[in-house]
Amino acid sequence: MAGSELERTRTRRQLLKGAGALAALGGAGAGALVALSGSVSGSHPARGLADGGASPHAGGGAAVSLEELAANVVSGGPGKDGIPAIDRPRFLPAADARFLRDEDVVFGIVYRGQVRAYPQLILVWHEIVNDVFAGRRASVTYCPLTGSVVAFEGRALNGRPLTFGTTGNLVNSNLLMYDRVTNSDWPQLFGTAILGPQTGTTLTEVPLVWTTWGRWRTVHPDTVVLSTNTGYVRNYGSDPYGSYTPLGGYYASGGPFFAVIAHSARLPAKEVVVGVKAGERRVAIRKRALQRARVLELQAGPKPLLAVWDDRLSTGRVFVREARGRRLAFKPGELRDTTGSAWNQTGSAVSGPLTGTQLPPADFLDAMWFGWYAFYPNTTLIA
Amino acid sequence: MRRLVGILVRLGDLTDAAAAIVRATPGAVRRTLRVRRYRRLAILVGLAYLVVYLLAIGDIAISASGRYGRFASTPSVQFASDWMHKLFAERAPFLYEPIAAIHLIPQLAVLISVGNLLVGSALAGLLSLNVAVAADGIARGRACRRSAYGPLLSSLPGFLLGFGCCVPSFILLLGTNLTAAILPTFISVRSYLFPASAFLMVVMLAVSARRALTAKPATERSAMAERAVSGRRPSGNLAA
Repeated sequence: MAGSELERTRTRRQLLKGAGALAALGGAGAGALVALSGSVSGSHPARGLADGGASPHAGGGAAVSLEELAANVVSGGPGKDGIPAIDRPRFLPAADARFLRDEDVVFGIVYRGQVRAYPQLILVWHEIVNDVFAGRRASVTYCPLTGSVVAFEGRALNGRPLTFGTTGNLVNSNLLMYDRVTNSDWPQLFGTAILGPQTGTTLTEVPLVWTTWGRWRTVHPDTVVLSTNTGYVRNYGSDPYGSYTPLGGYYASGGPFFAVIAHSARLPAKEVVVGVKAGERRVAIRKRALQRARVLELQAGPKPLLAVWDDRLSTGRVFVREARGRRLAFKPGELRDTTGSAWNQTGSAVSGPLTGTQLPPADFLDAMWFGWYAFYPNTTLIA
Repeated sequence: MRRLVGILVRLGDLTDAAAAIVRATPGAVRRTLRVRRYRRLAILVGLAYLVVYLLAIGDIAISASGRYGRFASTPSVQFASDWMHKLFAERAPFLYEPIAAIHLIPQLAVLISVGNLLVGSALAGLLSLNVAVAADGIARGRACRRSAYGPLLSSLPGFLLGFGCCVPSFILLLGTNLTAAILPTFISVRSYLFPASAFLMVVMLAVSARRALTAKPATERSAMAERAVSGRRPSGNLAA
């Protein structure tokens, strides 16, 4: 009797243990499943807009909406600020930047009287530099996955200066930044907030060029260059994706790592184009086409534009083709307008009746073709 | 209903067995580590794993062309600013901010991250114990060589924790087309890699420890065989 009672007690105890173990296993399994399904449902399928390239100059598709972009945000892996922005950049005179070789890629900016270079080999580890130019904030941003570099004015918002950090997320394989005032999310290449209180607001761009250190310091011997003393320790000098000199790895070939909303086979995915934003119109200029033409008049958007190949820096620039209230016309392939004024490659009139006039810069940036097209499938391509 | 009760009771028995194994594991590990050659093996395996782990996550970087020498003077030790606040700053799940960089020669960069060292050491420690206990089990003839492969396989997910920038380091080695195919799935499971690796190695260790603990030393087995032949009863509890 005592034995069977003992056996029953043991059975009850073992049954409870078994149920407990089952519940614990079930809980852990369900947790993992929820996390997995959450991450899968978070990555909305791209709409699969493709452009095979039958029409070489026409825009391929409809513009991408803010909602569509917001629905296609995916995790890039790192957490928020896991790729840390540089908030207290330090600069060195060109002569002291012994860590750079002439062929190294730098992003050059001349803004509010300051001439600065940002080495790609440093920015690949930080993606954002929140900088100050003669008292005014501007952020220099770089996305290695889309090869796009853009500087944005950091005008105060709600009385606080606008600075940016990295969300760790991507949209169209492009860096998704957040602002530290309203926590809104901004795709770097798009420049317009897609999530948060600032949704629909567009940032003002500051012209920036993609060139090499040797060319930049020859043209701007007074330049300063971003120091490796960033406040963080990284393997500066190495690029996890590949190399620009010589061109290799991710930068040279293949497609994007992450899903994009629209894709086009009209150019190789990684070919760098000069992207122009003109009102509602978007134009991509193949760099070799601009190099060949040297000067291109564009009729896109509300204002007439002029694209110029700057052979000193081996880069393209785009200006608004207006001066002293009148629209200018340029002779094909020449930096000379019909008033008889001659212009240099930075958009300044150097002789003739308009001497001393500066053409206002247009919104333009360098980006890999796939990245530009993913945001602007309605783009016109000049190839 | 009776069937369900039966299953639950059996599950309860299994839980007891698992608890017994877990209780026995520290003893088995201590017994293995008392032997000098297994202690050495554990240290060697642990150090080797830690180095490979740090290479995989990019905290140790090697460049034949000596490019690190361009960006930092050698030899030098450089600290991150405000490094106390960055001690456990997370860059990605189970990947932490480095607080110092050591450049001894231009070809080598070593980043010091306390969090990464702890994660790497935890995995290295588990693997080294697994290998030492498995080796002990093999020597005692209670486990075959295959029992060492489990822990080695379990330790592999740890190598996948590194991030180059936006993209996991190991995926960059696969090339762009393969990367695009597996990246979304990989990123969704990445945060489970370390816990999964650690859990699997703890389970493997418990299993190996049980095998090693219930094993008889080779000399004891020979003595038993001799006694059996001579018809004498062996003394002591030598049951497996």
